[in-house]
Amino acid sequence: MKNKIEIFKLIGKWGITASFFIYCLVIIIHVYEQAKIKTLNHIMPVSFNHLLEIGQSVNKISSGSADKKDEKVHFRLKEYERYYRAVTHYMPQYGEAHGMYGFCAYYLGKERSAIASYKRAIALTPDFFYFNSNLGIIYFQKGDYERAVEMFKKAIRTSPEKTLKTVLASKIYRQIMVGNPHLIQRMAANWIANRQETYQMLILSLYQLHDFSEMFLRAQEAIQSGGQRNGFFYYYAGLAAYELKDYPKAAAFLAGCLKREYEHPDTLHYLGLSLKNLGQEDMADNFFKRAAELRASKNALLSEEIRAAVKLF
Amino acid sequence: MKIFLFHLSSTKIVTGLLFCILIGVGFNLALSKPVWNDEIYTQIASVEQHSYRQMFVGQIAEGNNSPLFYSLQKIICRLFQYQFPLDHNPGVLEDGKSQIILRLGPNVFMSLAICLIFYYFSRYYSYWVGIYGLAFALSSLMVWMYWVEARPYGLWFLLTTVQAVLFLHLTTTNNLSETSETVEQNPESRNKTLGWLIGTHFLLSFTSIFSVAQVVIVALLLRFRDLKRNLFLALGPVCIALFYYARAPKYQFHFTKTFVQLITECVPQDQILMFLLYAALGMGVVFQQRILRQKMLFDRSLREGRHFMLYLFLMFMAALAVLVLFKLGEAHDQKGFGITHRYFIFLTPVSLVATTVFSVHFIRAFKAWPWLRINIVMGLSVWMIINFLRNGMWFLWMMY
Repeated sequence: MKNKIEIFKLIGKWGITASFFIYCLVIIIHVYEQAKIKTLNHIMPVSFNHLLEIGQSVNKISSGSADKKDEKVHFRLKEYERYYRAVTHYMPQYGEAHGMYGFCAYYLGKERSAIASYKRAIALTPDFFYFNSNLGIIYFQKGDYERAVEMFKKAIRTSPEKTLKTVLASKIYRQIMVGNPHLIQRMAANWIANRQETYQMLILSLYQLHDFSEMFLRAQEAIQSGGQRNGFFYYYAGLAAYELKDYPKAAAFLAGCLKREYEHPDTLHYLGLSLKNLGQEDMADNFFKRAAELRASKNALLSEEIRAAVKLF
Repeated sequence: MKIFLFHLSSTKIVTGLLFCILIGVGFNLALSKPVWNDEIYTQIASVEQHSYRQMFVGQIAEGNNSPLFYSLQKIICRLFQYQFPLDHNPGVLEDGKSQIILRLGPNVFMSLAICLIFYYFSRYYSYWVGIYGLAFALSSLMVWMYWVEARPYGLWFLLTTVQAVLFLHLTTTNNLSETSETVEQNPESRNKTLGWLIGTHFLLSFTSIFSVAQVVIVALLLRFRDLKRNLFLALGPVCIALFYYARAPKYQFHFTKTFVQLITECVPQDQILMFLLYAALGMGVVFQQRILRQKMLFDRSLREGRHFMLYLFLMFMAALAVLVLFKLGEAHDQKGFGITHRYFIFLTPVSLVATTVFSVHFIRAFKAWPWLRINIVMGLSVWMIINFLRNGMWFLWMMY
């Protein structure tokens, strides 16, 4: 009997210890959850306004840069990067946070991290235009045109409604919208322009891959979708037709390009070549002359100009 | 003997490594936040615009006259040929070089203070206690907030830590390692410790006017009868601190927070609760022994902390007295500077040392009840983890 009481006492004692241990674990988990929120609140940047400016005005920062202005931008970017890294760490289900981290990482020169983050962001929010497009841009800048084409095609397939709905439902974008209440209107207004830019890069990537038939189709698609950059698409539709040896179409598109005030030495040159192939040598010579005159002042290739202007959205 | 030497050197090596790590953490922290208004003011108005002579005769525009800190900052700036850039936005400077150089001193001071806590408890108690003390130091919000503040707080923190540790050492008659034999401190070692304490008090007097209270409290508790010791331990440092106080300009202050808020920002409520519990148990032991004349229920280790408990209590009283003085001289209409928790930063290292010592005493008090002891160890460990999660976690993110 005495032994039994001892056993019960022992069980009772260690039962209390085990319960206390479980209670401690629960408390630790609870405090950890609170600490996550506290951490995010503490490291949250005071304002997200600079984030929008960075995308507009800054090129990728090289790690050895000593420029004073670059240093300030670098400082801000590091602040945003740290915040979004923490969000992705504690709340990995937020695709937008991965996207924003990718954005910061790209401008800080961490290309591999940026690619990995955008991939995660796309896996979580596949119908979001900007992440697909931005990942495409990174591949494009890297010269990985096949992957770039894949991403740009995906971006073009997304619908504006789904993208804007994602923005509206996102806690991450809501933080940015606190200081920029018209962000959603701006996004909606820029939708066509952003899509056009994506088409531009898609076409340039296809050009690099020498996939001229696809390039011709996409250029036509872009022309039909409207926008203010039709001259560019007329030029590349013409160029694709020229490479496919469809000279009448090439001449028609390149002439259309000139009508849209898209006068570039390359346009004039290829129009001349197309006309030459169609037997209109005199007219062709005229275009060659104009092209040479223009090239003296405008030396860069069209594709290089576009590449230099490319920024993440 | 050989084992002892090995133990000693390994503790020193680990502490050295820890110091390097903490310095690295400090640099990362320094780079993660821009230099702010008060740091800029201290650098321009108190360091760059004054000669060493002006600093030591107290010709400073700041309310808190810390010639020791200003001169150290000046030496660091000279060493690195650094001059504060004038082309910065008002109130904030985002400049990597400035962030590192201006905060080098505070980073070293704070890292040293944390290492000292680890070293002392590892050396005289055990590695586990050292780690426990270290974890508590890294769980303190004040430590993280003022680790790399280019103002005198880091130095003040370090000197107060040294004072607290030396006081603990002087008032602990035994080698506290549970496994080792009890060895009485010899007079030579005691004098050496006292010498360090006197040196610390002099340095404190060149750091903050609040050190007057710290110095007087320690002198009162050590109760030396001869004048010479008191002269060096208290009178000299107090006179120096008062001299600098008299030379410093007097500004107006107002309260933006309550007394309790100001104190609990330096010493969290749960630590205060632990001190109260420890005091209650200690008093229970005394009551049992003296009044009831019964055999002691708890181990005598609870009584061992009475000197430090008194030191801690008087420190709190000193902080309270300072608050009352501020209240009496409070400016009307919210004029002057707002009183902030950093004026009471000296409470943080004292309470960190107290928390570690008292935790050890708690565990030892229940030596006769292994089951209870396990629960206490578990409770204290969880308390430490929770504190770190609450206060330390987000600072680690700051450094990424």
